[in-house]
Amino acid sequence: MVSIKYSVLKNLDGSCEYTTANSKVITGVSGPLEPKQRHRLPLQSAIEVFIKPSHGVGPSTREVLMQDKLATALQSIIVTEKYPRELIQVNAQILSNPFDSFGSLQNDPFNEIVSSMIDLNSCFNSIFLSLIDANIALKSCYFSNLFTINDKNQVINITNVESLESLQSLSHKSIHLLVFEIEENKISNILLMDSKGTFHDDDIIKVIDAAQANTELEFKNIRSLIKEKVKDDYIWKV
Amino acid sequence: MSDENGIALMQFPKEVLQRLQPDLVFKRHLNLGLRPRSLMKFDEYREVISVSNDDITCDNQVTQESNTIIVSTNTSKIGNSMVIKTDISLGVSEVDNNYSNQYAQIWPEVIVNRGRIGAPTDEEMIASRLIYEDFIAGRFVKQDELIINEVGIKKPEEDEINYDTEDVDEETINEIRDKYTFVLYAKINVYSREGPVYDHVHNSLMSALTKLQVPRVFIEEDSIDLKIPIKKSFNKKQTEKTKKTFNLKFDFKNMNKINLSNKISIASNYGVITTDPTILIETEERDDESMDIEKPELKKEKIMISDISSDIEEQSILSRISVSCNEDGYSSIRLVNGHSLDKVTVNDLKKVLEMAKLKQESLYNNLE
Repeated sequence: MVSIKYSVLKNLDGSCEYTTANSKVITGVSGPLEPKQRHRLPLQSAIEVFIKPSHGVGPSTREVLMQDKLATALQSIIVTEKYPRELIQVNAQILSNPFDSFGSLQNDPFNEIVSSMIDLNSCFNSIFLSLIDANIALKSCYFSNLFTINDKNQVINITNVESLESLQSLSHKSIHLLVFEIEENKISNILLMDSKGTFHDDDIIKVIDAAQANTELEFKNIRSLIKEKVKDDYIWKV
Repeated sequence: MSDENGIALMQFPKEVLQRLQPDLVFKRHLNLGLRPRSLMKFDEYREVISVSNDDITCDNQVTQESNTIIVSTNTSKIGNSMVIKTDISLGVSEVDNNYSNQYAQIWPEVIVNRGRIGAPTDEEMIASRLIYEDFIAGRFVKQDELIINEVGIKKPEEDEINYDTEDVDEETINEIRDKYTFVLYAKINVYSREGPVYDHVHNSLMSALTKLQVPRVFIEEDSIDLKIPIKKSFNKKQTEKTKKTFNLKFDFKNMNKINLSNKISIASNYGVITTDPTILIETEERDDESMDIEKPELKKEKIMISDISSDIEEQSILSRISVSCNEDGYSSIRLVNGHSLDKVTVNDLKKVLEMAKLKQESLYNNLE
């Protein structure tokens, strides 16, 4: 369902193309680079995130908010102390979003939030693999999940919803983006949680449980992918 | 002593040090059990004085925009200096076909006044976008409430406007009815910013929403038969057509109060930081003997700070939670762990959710 291609952009230090059932992003990481004078931090590296939307020129306010969420989360994932006075630049280009076709957001304004959450979720996962591809030192791994709770109180994983029609007919009560930090192959903490809509304490517990189970499942694939990648990259080793 | 090594021992006054090393200054304060720049407790919030009203005002004296009519305002004073002013104004737009049982949107613009002009900063854009999303997620105003579905007629010789037009078989009125809708704009000015603005801006907008009202709409009878010729093209065969037009007028003496479909939500923010006992300033000089006997236990302690409220706190607290909720539940939670050592755990989240509910209760009555 999820297809991942790494090292797709040869001129960048690291890149990844991440495709889910309903979205596609391509991300690149360059670094450590020489930053502009004003971005130079004496003891740690600066992190810059740029997101380009699937249509139109960006970043607009929608993307600026996504950039901010990504940059703050990456701040605690990347070993910034290892690259003092340097810059790590992360770029993401959204290639497709389910709400790309004109007028598809009109049915329900809530789709505005759903649309940007779908982009953000794919960006998070794709950037993780790009960072690994760029050999940037990381403190821990992370995996991002996107769940919605509909009016029948069902928890639905949005990355598996394929068509626009089924996305539009979900009648979301609330939507939750949950990024888990993974240390030594175990979920250690919540890195980022972004919930919008109408929900209660038990909904939060339900979503965290569902996301934890999903992370454990999906991260296995990512881990084996990384293992394969490391094996392929170091061909000179016996 | 350090002169021998060629490096002079530098000492900075507090004001300089807090800009150079906000982290250090903050943690030293924490070790003393204080928050810098204020004598607030760790779990204390700044006082909020909030005034909302539904006076119709025009802001043309200031911005020269003569057609911006403000229908609802809120002015909040947070702490000792920060002031937030929210103005909700209206626009008119044509109705989309499928508006039924949708919720309306708002188009906010947050301006943090810092004595500079230019493109909006990231902070302003982020706050605007967050409020826009919050308004959608909160489902506060039904689109139906904003649609113009009754149109009055004013006869030229009369002063009264006749709104009882159900039976009036007038083509123009039917053309207007249900075809146009009010659009909400919010202009939010933040003066003398102290700490992150988003939560207070959210509360100010919510408070202004409770006073939201729209004017009744009428047309003047003279203008009903107004026709304007429109030329299709200048070069080709000039086909002249007339287009029927009308002037929508707004009766600001007759306002309709908008009933909110959900209760307003109140946002509050929290941060987590760990103390560093190694930078504790020794206040008492101890004898050498006592040093050997009892060494103070160096124990790191996690502290939860509510209402992040000064530059130092803003720069040092990177792991934050922002919760907005009303009596019926939560409408938004934003948790970001931006620091690899000070982490918000699930238990902290639980604690924060409880605190946010208490805060909501206490502030809700205050705002309304």
